[in-house]
Amino acid sequence: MAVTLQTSARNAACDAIVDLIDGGAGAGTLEFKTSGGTSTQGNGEVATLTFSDPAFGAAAGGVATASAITSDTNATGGTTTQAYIYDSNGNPILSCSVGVGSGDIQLTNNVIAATETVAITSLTVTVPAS
Amino acid sequence: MDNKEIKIEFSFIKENLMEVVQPKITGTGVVYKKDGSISVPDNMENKEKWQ
Repeated sequence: MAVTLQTSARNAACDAIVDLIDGGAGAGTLEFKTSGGTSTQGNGEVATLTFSDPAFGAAAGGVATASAITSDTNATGGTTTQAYIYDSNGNPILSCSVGVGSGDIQLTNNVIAATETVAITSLTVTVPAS
Repeated sequence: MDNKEIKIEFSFIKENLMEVVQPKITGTGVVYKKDGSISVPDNMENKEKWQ
């Protein structure tokens, strides 16, 4: 029998995940990285955006939605294919793929020139039922 | 001809693969050029739609 999470379990799991982003004294960050970037904060960094604190609202239906994310108005620049989410102590919490028309986070362009602005218009974390 | 006993053993390993519920991240974002226009790949169709 497949593992199936009820809504209460999905919400609890989802909240537990996104609450880790709020670890430390400040706000968590989302770092777009090059394909060679590692999980170490700053390694392969293309652009860094800052979450609100707390980063996400309470999960509903297994989905947590990010509160306002501050854009990077002066990107380092590069071609991004992945992103890491860190807490304010620099601990990696989540990672995902980045692309144009594909990937977990879809940008209008994943080739970012230095000093360009990168903005996130929507971001959710979902814990599915199965 | 020598009688050789050939012993063939079959071992089947059945792994009980634990099914894991994987969280998902879904996000959209916009990259802006310095002039404020939206940056899209040069080979993107309907480029005008974005800019």
